[in-house]
Amino acid sequence: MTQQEEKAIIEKVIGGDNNAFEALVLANQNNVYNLALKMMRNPEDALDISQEAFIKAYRNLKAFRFDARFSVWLYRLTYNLCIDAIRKSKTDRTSMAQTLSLDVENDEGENRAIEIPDMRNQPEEIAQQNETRRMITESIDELPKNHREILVMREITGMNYEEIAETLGIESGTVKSRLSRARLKLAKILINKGTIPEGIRQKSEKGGVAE
Amino acid sequence: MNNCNEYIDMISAYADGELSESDLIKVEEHIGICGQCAALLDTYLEITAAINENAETAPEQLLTNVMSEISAVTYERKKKSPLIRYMPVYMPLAACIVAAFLVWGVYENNFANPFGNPAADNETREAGGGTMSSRIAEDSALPETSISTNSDTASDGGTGGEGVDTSAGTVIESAGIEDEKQPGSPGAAQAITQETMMMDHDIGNDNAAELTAESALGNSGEADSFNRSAAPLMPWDLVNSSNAGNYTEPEKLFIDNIKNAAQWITITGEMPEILAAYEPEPIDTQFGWEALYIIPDEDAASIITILADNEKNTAQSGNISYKSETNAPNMQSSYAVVLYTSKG
Repeated sequence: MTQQEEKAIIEKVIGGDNNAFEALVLANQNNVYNLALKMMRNPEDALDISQEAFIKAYRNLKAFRFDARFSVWLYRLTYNLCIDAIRKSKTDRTSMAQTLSLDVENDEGENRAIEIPDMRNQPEEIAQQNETRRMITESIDELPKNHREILVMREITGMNYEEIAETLGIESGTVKSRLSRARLKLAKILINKGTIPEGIRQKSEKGGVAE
Repeated sequence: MNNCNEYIDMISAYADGELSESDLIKVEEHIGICGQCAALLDTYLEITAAINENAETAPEQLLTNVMSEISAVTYERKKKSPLIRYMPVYMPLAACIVAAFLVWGVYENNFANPFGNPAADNETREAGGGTMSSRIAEDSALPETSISTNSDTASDGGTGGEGVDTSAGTVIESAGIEDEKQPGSPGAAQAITQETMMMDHDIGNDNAAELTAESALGNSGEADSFNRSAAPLMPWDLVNSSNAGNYTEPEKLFIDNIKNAAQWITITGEMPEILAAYEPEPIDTQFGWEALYIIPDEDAASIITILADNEKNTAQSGNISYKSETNAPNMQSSYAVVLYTSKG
């Protein structure tokens, strides 16, 4: 949906046509839901927050100024609702312990047999690839919160660095380096699990993962 | 190979398509000769593919729930008569007034002075323009007196604001009607007295609300024997409330609206005409407000100007900046919140 299309729909909604809002929900619900899902790590909270984000967007639509994409504004609402919810529930499992256990895994990882999935062609390899990708996605949950959120923000919503920077209240340069750290850390987790080839192991260790 | 580290962040940015033309060429040259960095890029691209491939489809009830939730509200720009527009607000208010009438009737019939200490009342209520108990006496005897008393109140009011003026106007009107209907009937006199009292009470409470907000006058209506809810909770108190855990969903939304606003305007008394152009947000809260409006910043400025020009109105406005730590979702779409109540 282009920014013009978004604008036309928003004007319709503000003009009293509630049904027009459906198009905005349909166009953004998957991204909003997945962002919330990766932030909250459970489907119930993700659904609640997604709903709240859309309703909040609807209520605040009059105040929307069209100087950002509606979708980006919506992602920000979603992100902020997630942050509030996480703060409230204090159930964020991303803890120091996880980061520490990662280091332990590193040592063990040295002796781990490395299976290199060949991500090409044959049906069984396609199944393998699906499995690999599922594991990659699951491993994102193991990232510390600031790495997880920036990674899913980028990967799921497709927000650019500038938009992410504004959303998180950090510099654009920090977005670049934090995303890089997040990916390195994820790569490291995947290597330790044997999900991806070790070939890049040295590389990811060389880069360091501490932000 | 030693210079791989300088490419680390660039490879990530390359995967995101966020590199400048010159950096892009540098990275492409490097991954052409460095297998490890090429593998790293492949991994990143695989991560992207994995996330997209495994993205969930939003549950169906998301759309249904959102659409049914918002169907309760519509953005309408049509101007309706204020009475119709505020029917949902007025209905419970009307019920309260009827209830108060009944309660008052009992009081009036059974006690000579419902306020217990007329002297103290005289003293404390003087600032608000006339004493309530003295007016009861006058009104009971002569409905006409209440007209002049109330008119005086309106002109004396000064800080009393639009609420005082309106209430007074209503009293004059209804007293007059009652008067014509049944001038000699004691029942009519009773009704007039009651109604006048109601309005006077509102005036008292208006003052109370202003006191809370401005700490300007020395009196409030807290000693009233009416069992009414306290003055509205002010936005600056609401956002700092430690009570958040106990709030209902509508109350949380209400506070959210306030929290995200760039500016707060609270209005007590008569609804300024300019607000009729806006649709009030749905509210179902115990904070003592009848309506909440979300107003674009530029409109907020003109509303304040209008209110300031019109001394009859009561307005407080304050500025807040959104806390950056929570990353204001509407950094680029600031708006003002107008909280309205006809009475304190």
